Amino acid sequence: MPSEFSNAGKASLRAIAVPPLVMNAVRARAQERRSRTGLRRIIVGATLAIGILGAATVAVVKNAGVDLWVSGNKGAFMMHSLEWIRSPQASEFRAAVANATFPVVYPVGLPAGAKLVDMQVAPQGAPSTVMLAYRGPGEFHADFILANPKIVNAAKFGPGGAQPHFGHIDTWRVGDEVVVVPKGLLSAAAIDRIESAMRKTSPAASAADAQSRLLPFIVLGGIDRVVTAARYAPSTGSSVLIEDSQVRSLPRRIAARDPFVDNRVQSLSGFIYEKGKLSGARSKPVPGVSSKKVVINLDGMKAIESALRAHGMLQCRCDVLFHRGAAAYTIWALPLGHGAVSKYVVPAT
Amino acid sequence: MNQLLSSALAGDPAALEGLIHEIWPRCYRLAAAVIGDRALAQDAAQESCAIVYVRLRSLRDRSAFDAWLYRIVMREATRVRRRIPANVPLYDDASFAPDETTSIDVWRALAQLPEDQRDAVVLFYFHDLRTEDIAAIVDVPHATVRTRLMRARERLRASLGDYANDLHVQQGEVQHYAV
Repeated sequence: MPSEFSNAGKASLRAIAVPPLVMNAVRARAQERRSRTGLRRIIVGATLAIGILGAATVAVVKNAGVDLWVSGNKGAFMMHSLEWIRSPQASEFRAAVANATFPVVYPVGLPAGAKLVDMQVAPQGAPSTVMLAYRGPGEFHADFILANPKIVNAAKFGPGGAQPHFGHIDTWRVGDEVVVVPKGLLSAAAIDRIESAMRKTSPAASAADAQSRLLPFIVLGGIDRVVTAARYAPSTGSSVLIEDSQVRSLPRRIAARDPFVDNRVQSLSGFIYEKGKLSGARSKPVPGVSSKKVVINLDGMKAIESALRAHGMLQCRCDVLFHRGAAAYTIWALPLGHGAVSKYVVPAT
Repeated sequence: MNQLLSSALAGDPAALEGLIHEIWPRCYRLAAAVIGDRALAQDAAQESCAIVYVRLRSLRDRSAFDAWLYRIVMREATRVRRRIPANVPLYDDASFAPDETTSIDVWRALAQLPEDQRDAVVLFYFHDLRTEDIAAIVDVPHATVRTRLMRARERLRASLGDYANDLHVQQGEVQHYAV
């Protein structure tokens, strides 16, 4: 029988006057979240989505700042530094893993059209761990951790301290590599298919497969539209995907003469763990690592703005794929919801 | 709401906004109940809705939506109430007027509880959640939730008197994620 206190609580809860929902405020907050290219989202999201060690267990970390615990179908992970490459390009991909401490077998058997959209290696320089994020048609979404078995610890933790937060995983071994996949992203059938394909391939063949899945453009904002953008991006040349909020910032950026720079590659360190969770917000990029190369200059920004303005699309809720050709700029507006992709061609100046 | 959720999960932006409208009162009232401050509750509820807006499509299991939403709101509530300075009175505006149909002033009682116990009490007694579900929502062991409830009941006896006598854990009587 419900208690009188419980009934009174429910009545009091219902009696709370609810202020009107300000949908614009929610949209703005959502947009801010989407466009947040800082560490918090990427590290917490892409870094495995499996458990992180508690602060008091930091002392047991070995192996150059990267440790992985696997116990049955649960895992925990900890690192102190990484190199993070968003929308890796071929040269960046090869350089990041050139000195890996194990023969990396990349995921194969992935669906057609799946793209490698994000890559993290740790520790930088001689990675013992490679983390890869794929997106593909049909909402395909998969994250993989490929690790040198030498960094995988026994299930037992160091003495004392907080207990680690283990997350559910699928894991298997391929040659001298441990593969870890956060539970729930892939179906059992997909995991079986990928595991089987990885066992039959070689490091070189799998690397070729991974490189064939690199995006033919760079992504400066969120990765929600990469699969759509991949359908339109020319296979050669220089293409850049910018997200909704960056599109809407164009007038301000043009006025401030603030071009888009390539900040995709970052080296991160100083990871902080609080109450057993990774606190990415307090981690900072190591200065001087980002390339800062201009990838959409003032003329390109003006071309995008003028094309969108001419078609009443400047306030559209869409990402933009920009391609700089020899004689013209090509601009694709990719709506965030349903809707047709629009293409505009502007003579290059 | 089921249809809205299905359509939103399928990528329909209008359904997503409809879903946000649908969940807004739940989010706000839960945040208000555990925070005790109207403005901060609105902040937490708006941020929770923004998270749903951005991340709904990452939800793989449709049936897990309610639990997922509880986790989001509780996490945001925990985040924003860090801004409350010490010794600021909670449940102190007209939003938290005592319910006229009962002689129990639940808000005054909740104000006397530490935050973790208040969370457990609101989720258990006001939302009829099971202790194991609360444990998953606030990310603590099951035993910790039961301990928090036990300690909360001890404190509540001081403010509720006889009304607290029937505050025992009633595992068999609660529904799963009923709101």
